[in-house]
This record gives sequence, structure tokens and C-alpha cells, in this order.
Amino acid sequence: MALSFDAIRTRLLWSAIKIQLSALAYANGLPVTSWIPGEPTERWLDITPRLMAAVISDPLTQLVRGMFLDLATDPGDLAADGTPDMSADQTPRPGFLSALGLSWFGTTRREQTYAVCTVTVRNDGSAPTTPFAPLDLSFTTQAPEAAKSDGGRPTYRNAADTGVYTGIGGTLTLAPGASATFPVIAEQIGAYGSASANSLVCQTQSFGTLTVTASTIAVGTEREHATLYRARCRTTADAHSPGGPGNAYLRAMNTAKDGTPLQRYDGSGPVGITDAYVSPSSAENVVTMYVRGPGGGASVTTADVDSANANILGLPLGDIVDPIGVLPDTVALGPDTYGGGAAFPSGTPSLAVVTDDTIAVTYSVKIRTGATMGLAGGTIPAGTYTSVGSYSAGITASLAVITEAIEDSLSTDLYAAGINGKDFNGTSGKIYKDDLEADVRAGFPGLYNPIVSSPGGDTTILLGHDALLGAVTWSITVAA
Amino acid sequence: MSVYQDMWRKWAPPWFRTARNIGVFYESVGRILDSEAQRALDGRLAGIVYAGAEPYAAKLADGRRIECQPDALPWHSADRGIKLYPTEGELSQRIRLSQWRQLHAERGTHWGEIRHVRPYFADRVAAGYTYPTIAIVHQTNEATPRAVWYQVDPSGARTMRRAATSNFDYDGQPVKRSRWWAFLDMTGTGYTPPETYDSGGIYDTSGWVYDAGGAYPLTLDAQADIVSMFTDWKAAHSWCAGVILVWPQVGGGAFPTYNATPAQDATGWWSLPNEKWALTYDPSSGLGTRPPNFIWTLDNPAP
Repeated sequence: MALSFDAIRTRLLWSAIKIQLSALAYANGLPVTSWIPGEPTERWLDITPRLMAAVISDPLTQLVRGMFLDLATDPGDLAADGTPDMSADQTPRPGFLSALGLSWFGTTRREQTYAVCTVTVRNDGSAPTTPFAPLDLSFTTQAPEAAKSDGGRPTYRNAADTGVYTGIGGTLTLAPGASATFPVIAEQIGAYGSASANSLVCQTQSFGTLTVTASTIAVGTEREHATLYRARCRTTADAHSPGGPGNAYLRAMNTAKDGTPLQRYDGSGPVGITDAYVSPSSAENVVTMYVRGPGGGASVTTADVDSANANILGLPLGDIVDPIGVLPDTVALGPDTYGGGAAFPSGTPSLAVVTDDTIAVTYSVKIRTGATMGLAGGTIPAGTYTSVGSYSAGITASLAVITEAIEDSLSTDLYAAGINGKDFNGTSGKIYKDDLEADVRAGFPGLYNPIVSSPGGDTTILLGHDALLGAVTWSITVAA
Repeated sequence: MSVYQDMWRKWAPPWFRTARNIGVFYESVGRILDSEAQRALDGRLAGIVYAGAEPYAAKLADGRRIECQPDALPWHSADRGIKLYPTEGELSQRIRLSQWRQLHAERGTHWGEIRHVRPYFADRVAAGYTYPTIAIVHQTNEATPRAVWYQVDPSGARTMRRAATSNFDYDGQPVKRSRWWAFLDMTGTGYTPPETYDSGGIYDTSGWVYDAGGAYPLTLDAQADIVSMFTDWKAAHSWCAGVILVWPQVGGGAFPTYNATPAQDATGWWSLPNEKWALTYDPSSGLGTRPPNFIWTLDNPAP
């Protein structure tokens, strides 16, 4: 009898196998419950399931899960059903998910990369520099380039380049006033290493007086979230239809023809568009498209829009030399057109960026004091607390745990309502007040009686708008 | 399956076979190994959506079809972008999932829309009935508007015809040129007409399909799924203005084609729209405009 798919895809833990084995043996008269723990026979009952799980069950489960996008994972990922990746080494790197996405859907996952760029360094000293080799020089950014969110700045090392380091022992010596251009690579992986053009400075002055006279833009990327990657994979098939299905536009907005993440035309990194509304129907061959990023419309740059337009319209632009071009003949893309002086000539059709509507929320909610046990600042005593109140450090810390969780719940659900809100009727959609109250209740275990007093009713979201969380004012009553 | 369970006895040394406890232990291990072997086989089959049509379907030695169980189909559906519809038969689901690349390649075209809907009837075809003839028509916005007819016959043969002078003018608005209408000839499909309240626009006239249903009715849920199968596969820039089921009926209208000419029946309805079908009745005469055997399961006028 065939097994259910749930039974096939679910990992069979060694402990479950041991239970099965014990039950079978017991049913056949073997006194497994009377063995002495630690005795050889009891050990066999323990070792055998571990062996079976390691060499049979786990590989089998991985193989099956690796066939489905929602179940396949790369090390470091969670599957859509919440199962962690099963690799022994969870260092983020391509695994089953990336392999499946590439081989079945022709889509490459964006991995975490080190930022690289080139710098032009001049010897401003009066004597030749001491010969220096790759990795000898350290660079960092300087104002007006902003520091990173942690207050620090990325650092870089000069990378190997056989065309540059031609001196004895693979070194380079700069005469007074001479310059050289060579590659550098960030020492921190990911977007932390990104930097604007001409923002680098040389920290190492022990080889001579070295001044950076120019540096190109440095772009380091973070690994694409598995959910977003799966979504891109699923748009693959429609990208090859000349008929203009909605998914073709979704594909072209952030994925290059070769399946890699679409890079901005100006070399400043991957396009940050992750979500879009494509109008589903038109009686006069018009497609209207609004886009946003993880932070709403505000997180979409002009370069993102220009790059997405280039790829959708089939117009080469900068680094986008081979755009997909998914717009069928006789079809107009809207709702915007370019004005003068932009990336494209005046009148070129363009999609639009979503307008973010921020919704300020005022809520009150109750929780029993017992439900606040174990919080960061300790149990919160009975009473009513508000966002403008002043409390002890412990109570403040515990309240912060609850209120931040509620804010996360609200902002996540507002974003998930999507472009145009819920129940879009072609002109506008809604953010329901009832849903906001449900979000407040769902924010933290034990909350009850949520009341949202602002907004006072359902909020209308117009075509091309989305809802983001604005200022939050709260009142929490802790009941004894 | 009891391969491993039995195997140990064959290969174990004699002293091992006769030892009762260790025998029971390894027999129990063998049973678990057998169940894992079953899981391996089922896991491999889980990756295959369709074994093919009988009698040439791919099968295991025990006759089991080499394809996944139905509960794995939703997972394939999610990966392949092939939505499964509640009233759709399993065979239709498997066919569409197996043809997902071809379906997506034609998505947004009229051939793609027809191709996406046609398998819905595969389960009934397997029971001895036929596929419906499916036609899609749209109008051009030329000086003399023309109608372009796409048609797939029950055999699967395709024809595309462009009527020199439009024989399909729905409402006199050819400028809305990306609208299209789909027609399904339900003759021979094995379905009986759904329950409808009389002939459409006019209350209690002929009563010919009132309270009908039969042994295998095309329920409202089924109609909704068929409509969704058209609209889910359309282009973003087009407008599905109607999905019309044509039921065989003496005295009813013929299935519309590229070479038919609009003609008015004595009772008032038109065989082709002739700018009349936008309204269910003609205000000047008070008579119904649509053939009584045509059921608009989707009537979706463009703004």
C-alpha cells in the first residue's frame, strides 16, 4: 500500500525508528522492556535505529524533499513547512534548493558575496614605496560615505592581480607621484562591504604615503531569501510565453534572461524589487504595473525602476545588455512614461512605484500578569501601562518585548495585505480594522480584548498604494 | 513487501537463525527496512505526475502506475504553476501538470487558454465521451472590423480564421479590441445542462432547461472552474468578456463559427451577436437576444 506524501516527506527520526523497532520486537515476544540499560542487547536496540536513520531514512527524506521547491533547502534555510535543512554543516551555501531551482527552473539564487572594486592609489611621498604585495594594504570608507548601521565601516584588502604585482616576489613599487589601479575585496561578506564610488581611503601607510585618488563602486550582496527565490523560480515558465501573461512581467522585473537576479543597469547591485501588482485585464491592450521592495515603495530606487523597465520593455540599458523583453506587440505598459533627462527618452512607457500609505495605529489590549512571567525585565505587575508612561527599567524592558512583538505582527500583516490592500475592486482595496485587532492579539501569547481606536474604521487603499505601519500608540492593561 | 524481513534468514549463519531473540530482533529490523524501501519507491514515484494514458501507461511489475499518489499533486501544482481546480478530475490534473511547460509557453495566447481548459474534460473522455469544440473569438479594430476565430475541435485539430467582414460584433465597440469570448460546444461531452432558471433573460417562457440536471450535470462549481481555467491563463493585457456554453437543443442556435452569418430567429434571438448580445433582451422589441441554448457562465462586460 502506497504511503501518503506526508509520510514520505517527513523526516523519520532515529527515536521514532527505535519506538517502531521496540514495538515490533515486543509484539513478537522479545522482552525489550526488561533489558538492562547499557547491556549489549539494549545497546543494539539503540544503535540500530541510529544507523538506519543515518544511512537510510535521512538521505531518503532529503532526496524526496529535494524534488520540491517548497521542501528543498540550502544549508541555513528553513523549508516552507518549517523543517530545517538537514545538512550536517549549516554554513550558508548552495544546496538542494539552489540546484533544483537552477536545473528545473533555470533560476540562479543570489548568494552572499564579498564586495569588490578597484582603487587608484598614488604615492604622495618623496621616495619610492616599499614593495607591497596583495593583502598588504588595508582600505576603509570615509565621510561623506555613511557608516554602517552598527556604527562601523567595512574594510578592504588589495586583491591579487598578476598584471599589477609584477615586481620581485609578486610585489608592486610606486615611484614618487606614480599611481596604480588594482582590485580590492571587502573583508566582511555581504552588503556590509558595499560602498559608493570614490569613498575609499588607504589605512596602511607603512609602505609609503598612499592616497586613494579614485575608487569604483563596491557591491556586496546578501543571500536571497529562500521564499523570494522560490517565487522567482515559479515565474520562470511564463517568461517564455510571447502571450504576455502576468507572471512574465513579474519575472522580468527582477530576473535577467539567464535566470540570475537582475542587476541594476548602473552596476550598483541587484534590483531591489520583490513584489508587484500587474493589472489582470484590459480591453484595450494596456498593462499597468506597480512595484515595491521589502520596505514598500520607499525601498525602490530610480535605478531599480529603470532597470526593470529595460528588462520588461526589451531595451538595453547600461549593464543590461540582453534584456528579456516580455511586452507583447501592440501592448502598452503603464501607468507612467518617462519625462526628459531620465534613463530613457521622453515618452518611454514605464511602470510605477507603489505609494506607501502609512497607517498610524492606536490600540489597547489586556494580558494577565501570569502571562508576562519570564520576560526580559521580569513579570509585569497589574496595572495599566501606556506608550507615553515612564516605568522602571524592568517593566519597560518587559513591555518592550510585548509591544515590539505586536508591532512586528502589525507591520508584517500590513505588508502581506499587498499592493492595493485586500479585496481590491479595480479602484481601491481595504485594510480592515478587525484585522488590525487580530494582529494585536496575535502579537504575543496571552493577549486578549484588543481594541484599535485609530484608525477608527477600515482604511481605503487606492490603486497603486500599499499600507505600511506608521506611529504606534498603545495602552496595555495587565490584569492580576 | 517483505524482502529484508525474510532475507536475513537466508543469509544468516545457522546458529544465528536458531537464536530466537536475535532472530526476532533482526526480523523486526527487516520490517522497518522494508517499510523504508517502500518509502524509497513511493518517494521516487512522488516525483512523477503522470504515467500516461491507458493502455500504454508506464507501470511497475505489480501493475501499479508509475506516478505519484494524488496527495502529492498539490506540491507539483505549486512548483509548476498549474493550479488545481476543485471540480477537476484527477486525470485532467495529471495531464496539465505533465504539460506544464507547453501550457506556460502558450499562456496568454488564445491557443494557450483553450489548451489549458481542454483537459478538464479528459476524465469524461476516458469514460467514452468526447472533448468539446472550444472556440475563442475576438474582434479587430480595423476600418471594417474583422473577427478572428480560434477553434480546437474534439479531435484536437486547430483552425484559425479571420472573417473578412466581422460576423461577431458584440456591442458595437470594436475599439475594445483585446476583449475575447470563449464558446464551448457541449455536444457529446456527457454532461447535461445545469439547472438554470428558464431561458435567461425572460422569465418563464419556454422552460426548456428549467430544473434540468441529469445524471452528470455541469454544476455551477464546475462552470466556475472552467471559467477560472480560461481567465487564469489569459494575458494581462486582454479581457475575457464571456464564457458561453452551447448545449445541443432543437430549435436552439448553432455553435458559432467564423463563416456563420448573424441571423435573427422568429422568437427574437440572434445566432451571432450583431451588436445585440450585450443586453439579454432587445429594448425595442422586448424579446430575448441570446439563443436559448447558450448559457453565459461568465458575462463580464469591459468598462
